[in-house]
Amino acid sequence: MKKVAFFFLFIFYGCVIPYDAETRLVVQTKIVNSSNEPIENVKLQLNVSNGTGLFSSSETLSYGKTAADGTIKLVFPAPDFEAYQLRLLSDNNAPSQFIPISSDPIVKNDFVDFQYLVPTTYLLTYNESTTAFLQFESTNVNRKVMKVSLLGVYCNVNTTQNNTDGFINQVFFYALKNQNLQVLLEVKDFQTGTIQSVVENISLGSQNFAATINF
Amino acid sequence: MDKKQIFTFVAFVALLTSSHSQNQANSKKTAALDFKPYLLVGLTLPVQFGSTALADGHSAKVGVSASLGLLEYNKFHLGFGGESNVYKVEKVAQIGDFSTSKHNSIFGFISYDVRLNKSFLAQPTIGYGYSELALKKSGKRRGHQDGNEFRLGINFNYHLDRNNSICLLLFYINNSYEVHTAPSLKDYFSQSNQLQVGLAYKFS
Repeated sequence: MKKVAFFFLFIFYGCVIPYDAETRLVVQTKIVNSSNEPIENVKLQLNVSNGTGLFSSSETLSYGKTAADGTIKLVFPAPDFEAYQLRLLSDNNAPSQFIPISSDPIVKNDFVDFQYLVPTTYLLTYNESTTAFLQFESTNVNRKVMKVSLLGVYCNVNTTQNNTDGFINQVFFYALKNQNLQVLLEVKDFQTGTIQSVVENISLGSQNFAATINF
Repeated sequence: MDKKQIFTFVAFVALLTSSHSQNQANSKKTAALDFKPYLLVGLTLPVQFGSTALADGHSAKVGVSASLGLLEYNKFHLGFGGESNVYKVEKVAQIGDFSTSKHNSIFGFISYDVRLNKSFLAQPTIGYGYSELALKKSGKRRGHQDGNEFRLGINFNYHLDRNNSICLLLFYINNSYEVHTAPSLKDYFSQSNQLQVGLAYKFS
């Protein structure tokens, strides 16, 4: 009977995300449209998750809306475990013509002086955007993409990662039609341990875009 | 305890000692350390002020306070007490998506009896102790900050009879909490200042 009670106690408390209230973190960004004009009153929420296992859980950690200059600043206690992931998301009731904002996962090491600043986050409409799908292939099996950065007008980046080594196989995102976009890859050679930067330029038209980037 | 609090403490004790010396000169009683317990239990309403998380991002609810006086030396009392106050989170973007922040403290105190007339007694009080500020969501504790509490104030006692009194509590309370954050937010999350009004019942 005791074992059953302990099991339910573990389930009950195991799923609760603990916080270090003595560490307060800041996530800040500026929401702009495709013309780089600030957008006021955009509702955003910050979600936290503690993994994807059986006893994992996620919850809203903070929420707010943008000021007249498009900025939003969310202050919150740090999750009290190492492998947490935060994600800045559009509010559930956001207008349907906009592509929902979904930031890259924000992890512990992304914070500098307890702050994570994203200078600009684009809020694009479906009408002005196209989709882009990029796949990464290396001629050397030891070389893998560890990080993908984009320079251009884009939003809602989803990466497909290898669970064991954390390298990235694919990236899917929305981007403004008819623009040249720069893709910056951080490539790691698992044999030598060296890290190299690779830059690729892609040209987006009005149709959905798909390409394989060889490096 | 910072320098300001040490200075206040020394000034408070000096003031009470000088008042005590004057009283002693007028009194024929001899000083003696007595075990004279009393219990004070009451409700408090904190009024937070300043640019701090508790003042800016929360609204205060009625809290509870209890003090146990133990020893008396002439008109000085020595004891300990505890307090608990709940604050509703009003600014989620500043504090996080939590329902309440709960402040708890335990402290030691020294007070001094100043007889105003037959029915009224004033007790200037100074205290220092441990405090914590706990974040709660759906009734569960989700994390807390440790801190220190400094309190300075006065209890006005109205005697109902020899052993029972009603007390009005007026206090200034400062808390310093442990925090690691961006420099611009350090004071916001590490400090709280409140003026507290309370009503209590005292049994002795």
